Amino acid sequence: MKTYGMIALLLVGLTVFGCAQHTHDPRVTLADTVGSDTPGSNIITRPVGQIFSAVIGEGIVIQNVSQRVTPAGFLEVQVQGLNQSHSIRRFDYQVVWLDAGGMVIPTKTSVWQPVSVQPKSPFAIRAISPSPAAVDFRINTRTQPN
Amino acid sequence: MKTYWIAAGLIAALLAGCQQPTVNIDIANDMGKPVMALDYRDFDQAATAMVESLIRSGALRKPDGGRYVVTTGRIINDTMQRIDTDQLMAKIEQEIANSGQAVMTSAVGGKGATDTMIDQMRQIRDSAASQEFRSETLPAEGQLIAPELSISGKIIQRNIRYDRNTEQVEYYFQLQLTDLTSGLRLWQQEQLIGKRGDRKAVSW
Repeated sequence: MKTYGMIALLLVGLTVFGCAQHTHDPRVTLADTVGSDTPGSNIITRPVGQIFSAVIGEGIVIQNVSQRVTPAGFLEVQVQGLNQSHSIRRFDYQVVWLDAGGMVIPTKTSVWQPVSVQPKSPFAIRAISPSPAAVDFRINTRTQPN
Repeated sequence: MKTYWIAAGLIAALLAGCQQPTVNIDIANDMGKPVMALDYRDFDQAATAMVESLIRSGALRKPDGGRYVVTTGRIINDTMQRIDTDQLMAKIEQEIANSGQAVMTSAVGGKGATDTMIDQMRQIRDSAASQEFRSETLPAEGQLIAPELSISGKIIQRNIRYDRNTEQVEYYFQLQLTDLTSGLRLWQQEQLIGKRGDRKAVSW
């Protein structure tokens, strides 16, 4: 029983290690098979990490949402996130723009747009409002049809 | 004899059961599979990327604060499909107009005047038929406003054999915005949509 517990602890430890391999500038992300091996990312322990990631359901997390108004008066939005999983994540997003009264601004640009994110990598989505009347937004996501 | 009728009835019922039922596409949330040819989702995606790029570039922002007059020039369909390029441009023109930065003109364009009534009313004015109209309701000379900017472009298709059974089709949407006075290109954007599928799937 003790042995199983130790093995489980070791696996969790390796996985956690694998998630935090920023020994370089954090602005640069190296994929598992690109950078040097770490305890959590070498060829033997990588599958363990991948299985653990799948079991706990790691996916996309949003880290920061920023907005600004362009000199021409259009609201511009940037969503930054991270793909925590060990596989490429593909999804669609749709931006809905709202005016000062909270009403949806009808536009042809509110369509589903595809995104693809590398495993364990950051990503950014940028969108600009179709009209200077936009003061707020909503972003919806869905899995890609296949 | 009765057996034949029963068999015929069963076959007819089976054939009717095999028919694919017609359904309306849920355009707001279409989960349908991609197709090798260009469909409305590809045009939506390309147009959205183009409009966002154009607005972000600031090329439509007039220095004196007014609005540009824009026309759609020639959009070449260099694909193997019969595409009406208005499928792309109608969305872009609509968004340019809605942005409040520019107005589109129907007087001139790559395919001629978008609204043929503009020319027709002038032909009436200059013909004997003008006698039938009250003169002050006919358009006077020198009233049309010339466009300052033009959007032109191309849709290109490339078919590449990926492997024995798979074909890769690349569609390039290319647009550019030109200042008609100076001839300078103020904005340019290319959007790629790629598809890979069965070689037997027709992409034209």
